[in-house]
Amino acid sequence: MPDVEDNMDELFKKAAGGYSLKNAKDDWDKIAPLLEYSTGAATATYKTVSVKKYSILLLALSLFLFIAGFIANNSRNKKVAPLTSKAERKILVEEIKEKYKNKNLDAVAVPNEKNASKKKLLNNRKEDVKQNHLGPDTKNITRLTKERKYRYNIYDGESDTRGSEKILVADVPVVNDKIFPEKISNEKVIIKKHHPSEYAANHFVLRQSISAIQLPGKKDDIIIEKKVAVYSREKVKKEQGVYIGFMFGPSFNQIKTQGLKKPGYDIGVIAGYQISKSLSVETGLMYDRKYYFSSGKYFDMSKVSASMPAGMKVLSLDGSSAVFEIPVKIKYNLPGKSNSNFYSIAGISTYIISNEFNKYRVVTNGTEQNITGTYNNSSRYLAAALDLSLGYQSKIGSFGSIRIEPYVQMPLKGIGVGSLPVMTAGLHIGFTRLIH
Amino acid sequence: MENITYIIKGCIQRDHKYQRIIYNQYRGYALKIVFRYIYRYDKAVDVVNDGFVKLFRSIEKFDLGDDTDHERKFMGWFKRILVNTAIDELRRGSMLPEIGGIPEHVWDIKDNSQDADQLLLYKDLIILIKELPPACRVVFNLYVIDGYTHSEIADMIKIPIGTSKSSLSRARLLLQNSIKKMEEAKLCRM
Repeated sequence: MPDVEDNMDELFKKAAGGYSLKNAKDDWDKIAPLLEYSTGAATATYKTVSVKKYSILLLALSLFLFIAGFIANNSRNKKVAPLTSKAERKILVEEIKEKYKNKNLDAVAVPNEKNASKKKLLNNRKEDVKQNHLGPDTKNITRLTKERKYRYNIYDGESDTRGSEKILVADVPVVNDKIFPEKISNEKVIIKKHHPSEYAANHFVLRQSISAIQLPGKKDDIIIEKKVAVYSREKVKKEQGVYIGFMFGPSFNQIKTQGLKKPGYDIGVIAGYQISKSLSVETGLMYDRKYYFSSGKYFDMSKVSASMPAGMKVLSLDGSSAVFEIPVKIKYNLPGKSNSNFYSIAGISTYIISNEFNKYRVVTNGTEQNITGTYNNSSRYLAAALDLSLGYQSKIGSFGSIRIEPYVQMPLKGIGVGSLPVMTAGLHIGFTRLIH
Repeated sequence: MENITYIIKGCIQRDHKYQRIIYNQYRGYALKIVFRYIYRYDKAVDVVNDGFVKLFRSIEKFDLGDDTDHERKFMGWFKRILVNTAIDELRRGSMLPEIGGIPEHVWDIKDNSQDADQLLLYKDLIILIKELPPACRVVFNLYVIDGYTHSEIADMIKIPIGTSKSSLSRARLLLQNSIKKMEEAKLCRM
């Protein structure tokens, strides 16, 4: 027997000396600062898990601050003082006239046959928008956009055939933004991006939206006309399009109504397509941290029995999982105000568990003890949960929308090493923005 | 590599350049020791980092002495620091057993290497050690592999000498059973 033991000891000694292990990553950058400034006993302050946790929190906080700053900035820039009276309007028009008096503008006359002329002007302006998209004026557009100025085209009203040489695209900075009539909302007139095509699209809408400001006199008149087409165009833009955003919030998880453990959280990005005014489809990628506990009777041993001592039985467990979640949802907007409404969501989520840590209370041969299990092999669970939620969303200026969304995720299958049916309820706070 | 004595003297003077040389040179050595005691790889890496911090903070206590083989002496001294750090970490977790398996990516075994079979065998044996209950694992590692006596072990992990001996017997028994099972499984596969 001692020989057997000696042989075995020798074998294990050889194994300990000869086994091949992947070398650890270079953590010198973490160690060096501890050496520089410290005295006394060593304490580890660089645990990998903590770094990961704080990085996520920091990322969320940065994202939140960035958005908040962006919204605040937008609000400052888009305070448009509406034109409230005819008198004011007239004053402003006079101001413009005065400003461009010496620029030898091509005379703009109000034609006698107003209706006919307007019709032609509409067509011509559509062409003009095209030119703005692709024409040589693109540089100018970009520059103007960057300066956050708007401009008006001043047309030769007498000549209905406005060739490009006759269109005087004057860089008329809007005087304190006051030129816009009352009915144009802030959202419509703010140029959101520096992309020329978007500028042109906005510009088109802008020009078309402006109520007729018609000056007396034959010469030096500026005609800016109202066209009905504007509103339909704007409407289309509102009702369809892709939107993106992010969401975060606390979550509570439980297994078979055994009660809640400490709260988890989730954070991630979403993307959706607005099919119609009331219907959209959404997907995304969320990172969830789930905490739960369960009685051993719900824990399926089949996946872990190989790594557990024979005859061991799980009495209970405290678990936590890092889960990547890919939802596919349908969102239905309930009728509401123009700026806010309630909505409901239904969908399914696929889970990818990247890491799981369980503290087990087990009994082996009549002796109870605690053991822990860490599982780093990722596993995927297609259509693992049914998502249901009812939320409220509200527009926040030109940035997009904020949404608050209580939700529940009903398990469709068990997840993790123990195939546990984890039900989740929580609250999502999110921001979305339409991006065409 | 520069002369180890010279490097150790540089470390005593808190010169980062020499500390870095020691870190690069002995990182792998340290991890192989700690990984026998600590079940999880990522935690073992943290313990190794702790061990290096302790080493550099107390390196002035290292006595080069008259022994000409300074490297061997230094490695033994460093091993003691690592083992103590690993035991502290296990104590912090109340010596609770851990399960979950060792991910394959932590092993550095190339299938086409000449001694791949031997490395696989060594890997299996190390896994068997790691799967021992923590108390048995520590005593087995300390006694059989790292060469400490039962009285030293009793002193290190604050247990009676008798407990150390019985833990070792239990560890050996468990390992024998595991090896038998492993052999049987191999025969079944053939």
